[in-house]
Amino acid sequence: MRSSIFVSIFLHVAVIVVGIYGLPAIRKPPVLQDIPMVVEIVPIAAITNLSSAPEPPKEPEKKAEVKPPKPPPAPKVKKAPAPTPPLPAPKPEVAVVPPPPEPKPEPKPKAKPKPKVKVKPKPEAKPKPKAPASLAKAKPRRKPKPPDRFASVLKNLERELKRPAPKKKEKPKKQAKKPKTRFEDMIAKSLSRRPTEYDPNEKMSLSEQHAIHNIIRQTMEPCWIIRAGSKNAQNITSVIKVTLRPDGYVSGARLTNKSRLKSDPFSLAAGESALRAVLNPSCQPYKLPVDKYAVWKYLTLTFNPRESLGR
Amino acid sequence: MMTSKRMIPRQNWGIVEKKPGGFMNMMNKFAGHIAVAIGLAVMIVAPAHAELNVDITRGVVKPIPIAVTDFLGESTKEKNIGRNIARVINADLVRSGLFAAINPKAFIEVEQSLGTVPKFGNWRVLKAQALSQGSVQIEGAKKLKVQFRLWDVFAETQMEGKVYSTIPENWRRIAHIIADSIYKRVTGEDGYFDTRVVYIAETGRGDRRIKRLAIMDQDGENHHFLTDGSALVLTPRFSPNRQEITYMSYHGNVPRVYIFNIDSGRQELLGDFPGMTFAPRFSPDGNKVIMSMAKDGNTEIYTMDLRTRAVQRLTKHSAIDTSPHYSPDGKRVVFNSDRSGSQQLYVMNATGGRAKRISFGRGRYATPVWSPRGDLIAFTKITGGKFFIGVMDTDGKGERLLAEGFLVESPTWAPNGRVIMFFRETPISKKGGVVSKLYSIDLTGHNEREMVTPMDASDPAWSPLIP
Repeated sequence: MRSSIFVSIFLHVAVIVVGIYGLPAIRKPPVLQDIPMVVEIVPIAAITNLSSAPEPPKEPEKKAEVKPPKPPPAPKVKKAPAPTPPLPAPKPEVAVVPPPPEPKPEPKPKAKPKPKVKVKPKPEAKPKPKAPASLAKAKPRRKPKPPDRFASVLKNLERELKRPAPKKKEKPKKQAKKPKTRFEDMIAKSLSRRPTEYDPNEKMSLSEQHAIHNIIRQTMEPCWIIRAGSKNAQNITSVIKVTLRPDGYVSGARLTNKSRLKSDPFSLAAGESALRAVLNPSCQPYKLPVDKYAVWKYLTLTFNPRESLGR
Repeated sequence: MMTSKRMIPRQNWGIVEKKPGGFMNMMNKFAGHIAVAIGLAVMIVAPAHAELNVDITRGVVKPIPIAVTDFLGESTKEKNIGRNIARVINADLVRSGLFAAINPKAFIEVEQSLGTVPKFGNWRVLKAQALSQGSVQIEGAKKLKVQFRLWDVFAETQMEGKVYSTIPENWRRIAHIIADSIYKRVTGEDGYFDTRVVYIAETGRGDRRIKRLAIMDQDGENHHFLTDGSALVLTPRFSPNRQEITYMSYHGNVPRVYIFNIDSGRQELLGDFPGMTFAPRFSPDGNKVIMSMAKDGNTEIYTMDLRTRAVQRLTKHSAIDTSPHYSPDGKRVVFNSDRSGSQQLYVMNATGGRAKRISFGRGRYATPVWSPRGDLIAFTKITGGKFFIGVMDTDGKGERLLAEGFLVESPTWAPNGRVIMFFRETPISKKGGVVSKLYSIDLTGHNEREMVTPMDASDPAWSPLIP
């Protein structure tokens, strides 16, 4: 009795304190809630752009995605969370990897314009089936489509390399070393984007949202063991709060309302089953786009087997 | 470890169950209050962050991998009992279809003490989601102490921990009780392993067929006969809350309903009725028996109060009304009748009155049995020259057929309302010879298992959990 009275008093005081001092602080978080608001607006604009827009961004993502996951598996097999924090670091390293084929232009800066020429003919080849006569027009259209950061870096690099060209032959040798560092830096800057640099307010297309949702579902569904034949199983909902690491592994997960669920063995068992699905090492990592880490770092997974239990 | 007696000795079995309590409970409450306070503080102070909400609406229906290690013991006898307990637990859980036991040969390292937290990494490698451990201790000549713990391997938490005391001969029941405990903790539903099945054991051929009342544990062990076979017996039914059976016997060549007390072995005639009584079943509170009585060429449904012996007629129709069964709340009765021309299922109030037809599918419906959890009615269906065991909602919707055969009949529910047992006759010769076996099937219809009996078996009845 006493303890419950103390709790009751504490709660009342807490409510009063929140009313007096806490309200201004509570008003601030809604700013963060704007994040989903932004996401909701996007689909309206994105509906028409769905097919074309998402394609180009995926290519750079893949490069970033495919490579970073490699480091995490090794530590994961042994122990879960400990060795992972340095994970964001490997990205720039990985991002630097692509340049190796390009060192060739360094000794011969003149060769660089050539790749440009190569890039153009490729798009030309595709539009052929439509109308060979409009080849000239097709070129400018294709140029904007591959807004590769890498290509833009090459452009900038060209400009900079053109400047030193008029100088004497001796100098270019020394300068040739400088561009090396610039070249690497530029590529590293343009291709490596740390997840922490992601702006949550950045608009995400509808297809990107769907892709993330689908990846999470596809990861969870094969791991979540449900019990067919249980009474009203389709009405039981379990909510799991999950925190993910940048490499897609679970760093923390908890079942919400666990204390309340303890009074209902069936709901508790269902919740724990969902939690086991989240914690199952065989069901990690989530292969999610690293550059959207800020979006999927914190997950709220709501488990309800209504689709599996049709009744 | 602080412990306190939580459940008192089971009748005639002397099993005592203990669970952490007392001081620990107080500490838990205190910790709970502190947690609430901290939670509130965190809610006020902690900054909000964006969360991605995702609905997971599909999962997989497959058994939960569980590792059950041999229960530890010091002496050879303790080790043997420990090994047997683990074997029975494994068998119970696997037979339910909801668990997949991991082969003990694959175990990497088995903890040699219950006092330490298991090395969960070793069990995660085996993909075990739950881990059961235990120990056996024989104290004196007639005391068996069994401890067990259930662990969630992924969450690395203890899900259950109990201590049982009994006589060493009860080790099998202890195993069933522990299996029930695991089943309930992991699935949230009551278990059904500490139960028994009574059935009609059949031997001989043709006119010399001998039918005896037999009883066994739900896993087929501890089999023995209750009657000697001198009189034909049929339709045994368990009391829902007592270790009593009601059945029909042709003792003295007169078919009448009897009650048999398992613990005392005493058999009692229910009443001397003017007509033939059959298809008896207990009411949910065990105080009444509902049955059919054929009188003057008409079969109606009657109840008899076992305390006052007062008889009440519930139906009044020229058709044959039979196979009555109470709903678990005792307010309604389902039965079958041919009042519409063919044998169909009807539901009426437990006090009688207007009956509502609930079965409308093709064929005939018989032997309706209301699920102990109240949501379904199991039945036998005869259509297209075949027999089926099926279930439907209590309003007749959502009919599903679970099992079929040349002759399948007499469904009976496990006390948790998830598994159904029935018997199946299979012809083995052109001269009319048949083999009759008991089978169980769960509501998914995918986990059908034969119950091994020493002879032909029919008319099973599942007991409630043994008190």
